[in-house]
Amino acid sequence: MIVGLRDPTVLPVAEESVREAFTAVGRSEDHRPEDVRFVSDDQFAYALGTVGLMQREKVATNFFFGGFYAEALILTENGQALGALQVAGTPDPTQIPFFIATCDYVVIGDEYYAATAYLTREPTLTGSLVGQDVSKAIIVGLIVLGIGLATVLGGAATHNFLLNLLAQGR
Amino acid sequence: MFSSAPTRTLLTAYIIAALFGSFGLLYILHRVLGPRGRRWLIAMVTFVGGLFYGLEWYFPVHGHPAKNFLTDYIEPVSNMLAVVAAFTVGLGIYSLCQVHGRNVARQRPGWYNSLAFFIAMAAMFAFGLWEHYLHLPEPAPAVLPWPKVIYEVLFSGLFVPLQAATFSLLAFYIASAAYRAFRIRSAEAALMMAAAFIVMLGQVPIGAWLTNAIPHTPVLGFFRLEKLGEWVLRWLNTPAQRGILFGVAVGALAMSLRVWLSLERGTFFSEQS
Repeated sequence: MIVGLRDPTVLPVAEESVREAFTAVGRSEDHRPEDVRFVSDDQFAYALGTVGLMQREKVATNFFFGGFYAEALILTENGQALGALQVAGTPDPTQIPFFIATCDYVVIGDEYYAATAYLTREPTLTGSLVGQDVSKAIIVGLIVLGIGLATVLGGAATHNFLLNLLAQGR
Repeated sequence: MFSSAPTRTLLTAYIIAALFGSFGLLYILHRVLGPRGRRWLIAMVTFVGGLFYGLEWYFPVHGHPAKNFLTDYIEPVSNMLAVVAAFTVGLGIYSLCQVHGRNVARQRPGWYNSLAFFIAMAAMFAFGLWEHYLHLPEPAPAVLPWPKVIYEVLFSGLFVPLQAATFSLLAFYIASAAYRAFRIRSAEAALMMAAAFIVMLGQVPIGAWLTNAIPHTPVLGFFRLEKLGEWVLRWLNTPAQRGILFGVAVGALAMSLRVWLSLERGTFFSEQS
């Protein structure tokens, strides 16, 4: 397993996470510290560095998780050319279409933040997901309420406390 | 709120003392704290950091300029974060040197690429610093000093064109990705193909030309390709994107709370990992 990073700030966290993952499955002897590596903080240098890595190592599976910009397509198209199974996840709506076109599985939008809970089934994390769903239901309710008030009250809406709160946050 | 050091010597002394103090503190913490203690410390720092920014944002502000009792500390805390981030750049360079150094030392296949990395890094580092400390006047003189010329060749003559070349590759990748996405294999793919067809034709003059015969009346005008394309973007695509963004915003909030309260699973958060 090779982890290529664009942000050096997360390097120690990634190193520790990978080390603990190997230990957790009882394969600590297979862990090679140099496999967690900083590639570049420049967008296209990172893209080309990672593509080079993918081609040299002939990767079988790619996981693309995090914030991506134009480099997303460069990475995933090269993965496709190699015939690798590809799983991607990003909260950024602008890159989701590119991942859908080029990856086998895509984690979309808020699923990105729910992945840990889904995989581990830990009660604390699952509870947080329930909280997210309830919050979304409340937001949808407020939107419907706002639409209703704006439709019914029309011009008089500027004097309505609730509508002002919904529209302007005060 | 913090005044700068009155003299250059004192400033240098402050920086050296801060460096030694920081490294000393880190060494002591590393020796004294076990894994549990380290997790506790990280949890505390995360909590205090989150609390600081949260309180500063939500606490009522007064006066001109409007601020609360924490606003004055924002700048020094941000500077502290910038210093920590600067240290991690060193960590990144160390990681690169470690990986490529091993390739060269063991003469692994393609080791000469790693050697090229060291040469490129040393050249950019040397000429970048040299150029910076030349303090050339504005506008730059007609004949540039040679270190500046070499820096320009390395940066504007090599690095920038390489970036542009990589970016231009996207045009080909978009074409191949679009071909794969628009192959009609299911009802969803057919729908996507139809939407893409309308939107793309609506963006180009030939689209307007194709439906030029349709009059600009409120009902019939809707079926002109440029109007239909805009409608798909504005009334189908935008709400879907906003829906995703709502979910992302709530998810990010929940994730932030989990990290802030150290409830997230992982190396630096829980005992379960």
